[in-house]
Amino acid sequence: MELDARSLETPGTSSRRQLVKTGALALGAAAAATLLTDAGISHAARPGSDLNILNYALTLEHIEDAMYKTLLGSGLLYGKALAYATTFGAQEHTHVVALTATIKQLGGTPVAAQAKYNFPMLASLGAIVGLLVTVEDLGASAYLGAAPMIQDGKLLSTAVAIHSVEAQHATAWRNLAGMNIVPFAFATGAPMAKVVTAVTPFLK
Amino acid sequence: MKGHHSMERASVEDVAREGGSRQQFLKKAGLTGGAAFLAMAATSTNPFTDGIAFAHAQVAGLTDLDILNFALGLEHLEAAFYAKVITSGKFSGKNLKILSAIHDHEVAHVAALTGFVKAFGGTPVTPMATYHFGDFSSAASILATAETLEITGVGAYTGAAGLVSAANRAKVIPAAGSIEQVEARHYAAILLLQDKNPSPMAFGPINTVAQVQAAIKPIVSM
Repeated sequence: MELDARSLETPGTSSRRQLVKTGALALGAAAAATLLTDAGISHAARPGSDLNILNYALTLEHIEDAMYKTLLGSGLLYGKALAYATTFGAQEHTHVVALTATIKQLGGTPVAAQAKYNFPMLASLGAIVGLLVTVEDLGASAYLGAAPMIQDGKLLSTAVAIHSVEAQHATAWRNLAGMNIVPFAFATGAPMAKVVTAVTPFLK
Repeated sequence: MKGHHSMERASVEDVAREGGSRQQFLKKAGLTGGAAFLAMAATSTNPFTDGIAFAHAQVAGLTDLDILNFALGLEHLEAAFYAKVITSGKFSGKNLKILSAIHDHEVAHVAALTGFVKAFGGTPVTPMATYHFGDFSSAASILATAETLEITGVGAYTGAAGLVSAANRAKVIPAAGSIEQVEARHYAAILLLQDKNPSPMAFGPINTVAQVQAAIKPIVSM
């Protein structure tokens, strides 16, 4: 995947050349419109949407937090994978704490972690690293997809700051997986609907 | 692949030769705006709630166009830096391949932001004729500079994201966030090339314009 810049494209364009030529302006607007449609969210209709987005992010952070805890308890990790899982797991937990506190401060009800998650049974370190590449890349895409819908500037910058950390995690796991660690010039935001579909198996 | 890189490198140098003065760069890029708004520290345990204020009133003079040109100025700087890195002779094999890919990305960001500024009716900032990228005597010293540049870039985009006007947010944030994520991946990659922890903190930096100015001052000073 040399370039996956769907979020920046207008229908009918697919190359980086085209993206660059068009200047990405109208493209971003089109992508945002798609996002809003996909997520079923309208700012005008739902003034409290920042809280919804924060709870969406918190739901994803709970999954990541629980996943790292499960993997760290599996005894399957060693070496750099163990070191990364320990560090990144702690960072995901920090995100959970920060999002929970923020939602409360804004008068919302933070979504709670599930008592149990349904993570795939993984027998090898390679399979675990592959799963973490997928999950961290998805996490970064999810934040990128949701960011344009955040109305408060401070919340927006903070969400983007978490987003960059998810991308760092993905880079580290990609490196352990022997994958390209700098795979594209433009990252792609994932619409909520797509993210929810992807993580639903974990929530059962 | 090699030919492709040298072509892009040549084009960067071409525009660098035609580039405007430092004064022009700084002015057009909003780098001398004197914006002194507050921002979080990267070490903050909860930047959402720690009382970090983005004092928008203090950057009333900073338009969305200024912010875009500010980003373009940084991308010009990064593209020129990596053009020098990949011709430095200090890297080979897999590491050179990674650094060449990063160079390609920065060149693509320059092109995208240039288009973006034009689409907003502005005049895209040009690269400086000369940058001072510090110690190029070893791979280690070059990577140390790269690390500073990448984390500055991440922090610049992250801080600027919250400053984009509500009216333009839907247009600007998907593209700016897209680039910001790639800068974060570059940052992690540069850390990996130095055998460092690729994710040293739970929250990426949220830099003010003033912080970015301070970080790049040695590079853009005459």
